[in-house]
Amino acid sequence: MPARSDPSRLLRDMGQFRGDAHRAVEAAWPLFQQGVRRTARRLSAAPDDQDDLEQEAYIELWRCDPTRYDLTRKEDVDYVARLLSNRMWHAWGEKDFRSRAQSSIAELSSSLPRAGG
Amino acid sequence: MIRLTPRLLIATAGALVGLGASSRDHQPGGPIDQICLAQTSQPHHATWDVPLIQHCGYWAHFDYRAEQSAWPIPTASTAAELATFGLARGVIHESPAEGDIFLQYSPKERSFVHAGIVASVTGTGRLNLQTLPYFDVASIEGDTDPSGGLHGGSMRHVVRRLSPADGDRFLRWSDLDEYDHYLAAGAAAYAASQRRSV
Repeated sequence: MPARSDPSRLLRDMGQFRGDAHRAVEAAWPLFQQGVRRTARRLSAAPDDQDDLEQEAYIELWRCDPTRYDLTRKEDVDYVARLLSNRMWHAWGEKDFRSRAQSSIAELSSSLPRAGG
Repeated sequence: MIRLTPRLLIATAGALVGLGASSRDHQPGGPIDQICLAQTSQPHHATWDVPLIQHCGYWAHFDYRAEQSAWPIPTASTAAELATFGLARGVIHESPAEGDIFLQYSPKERSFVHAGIVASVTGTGRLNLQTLPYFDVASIEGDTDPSGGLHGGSMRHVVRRLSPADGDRFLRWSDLDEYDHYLAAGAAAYAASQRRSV
């Protein structure tokens, strides 16, 4: 489980864990945790962003259901690691796009002539 | 001949929960070895989830007077083989019923990788605006672990979420019941013998 944030709590709060799925996710998470952290650090220097990206990876691990893979095999671990990494890059792209869009809008609106001005 | 009855399969499989927990169960000549040998003609198959279902289905529907089983699934040792059989007979469904055999799909393998028995459907819902629902099922499975993982080595009760959106399917073997045909054939034979005797 990540030290700073607890993504599993997020899923529990969402009521998404059912039955024995949480055991599979919790058992599999340590296999990917270090790689996920490395990717998060590579994508952003801000600890809050890194936490968000770790949560995205954890949710993706839950979504892809580790019981569908034989995680004693390297090729299966690599496959799931790729899924998590893709999800993080995608989430970061969306976030980056949103923040750039917001700053563009702010820039644009500040350059517009004020009403009645 | 025994009518195909999901409850019989569930009860028979339920009685075997815990099998495989001891390392002695896996030794040559042990119970798992014997089941694999009987169902696949190979000792201790690489994965024994399907041989175990076959074993339970066969003996749950064995008629000791007729000395034959009504179990309709022929030799199949993997989930993919079960799917092939189910597709050919038109008994693959996208939603579960008690007693069905679930077939768990792996996107990586692009095939079914695990099978178990649906003991009960405990819930259903939809995720992220997916058009297809998910199903929470209580299952009885061979060769799994406490979290429902592949090749876990023991027979367990597992609660898992399955979804046709993820490729999972359900084999409704009880649709293959031939009991009514059997009765009709018996009645026809009896009627013919009566006509001959008149």
